[in-house]
Amino acid sequence: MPDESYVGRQLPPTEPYQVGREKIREFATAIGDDSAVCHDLAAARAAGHPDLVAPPTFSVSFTMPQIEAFLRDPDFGWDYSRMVHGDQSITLHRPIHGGDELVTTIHVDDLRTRAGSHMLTLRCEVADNAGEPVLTTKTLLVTQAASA
Amino acid sequence: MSERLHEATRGPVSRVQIARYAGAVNDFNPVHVDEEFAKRAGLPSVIAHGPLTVALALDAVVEQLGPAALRSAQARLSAPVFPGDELTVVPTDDGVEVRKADGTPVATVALARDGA
Repeated sequence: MPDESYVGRQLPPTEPYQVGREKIREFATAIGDDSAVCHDLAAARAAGHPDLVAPPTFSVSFTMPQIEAFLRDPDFGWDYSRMVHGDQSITLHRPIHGGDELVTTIHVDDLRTRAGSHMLTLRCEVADNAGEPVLTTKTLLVTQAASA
Repeated sequence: MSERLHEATRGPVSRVQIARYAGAVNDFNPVHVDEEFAKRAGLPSVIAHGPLTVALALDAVVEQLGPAALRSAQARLSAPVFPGDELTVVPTDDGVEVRKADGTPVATVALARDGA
């Protein structure tokens, strides 16, 4: 049973995550995005970007491991192995670029149990190393409540 | 914004793509990569990560709008995506809907873009 006292809490900010060009290329390839600004540095700069541009949902590649670390914390009591993703939203204050150093703060916004499922809403506030907001994500995660 | 978007297709999603995405986001939850585990969990096969479906939908959007035009996206996932599913990204009044070949909606995505 997940610990409802976590609702409303904010976890300590993560260590900075450095966005690598090869990670942007790997992620873009995984989702079938072959656009030049994700792969070709010269093309990205020619288009006015400081470095490679990450696809819009690239942040999943570092926020999900950060979320997983929290969800595997036995104190919280979440069944990670049966988890599926529900609603998700992302607000981009600016695109993520290669070389960005990004700090995530996870907020536990909501936790409820309905129809045999635990439903957890986590919000990730991601800022650059100057403290400027880069993006906000909200993720609804669902796992089966323990049966029998 | 719907008048500026046109219908696009993505997929078919393959086990290799699901595995590749698992590696890219470091999410190796067995329901995505372990066929036996997925079947024991009552599924016909492994399922795609929900965020992969969203990534494919938004890829179809930024391909048309440009990489920096998207301001926000709110996705609601309604059905699992299995290997072999072909996805159609259909413009709606406020964003896009992702459908399987038989018309089953798998995600609705509300979008906001720069200047909107």
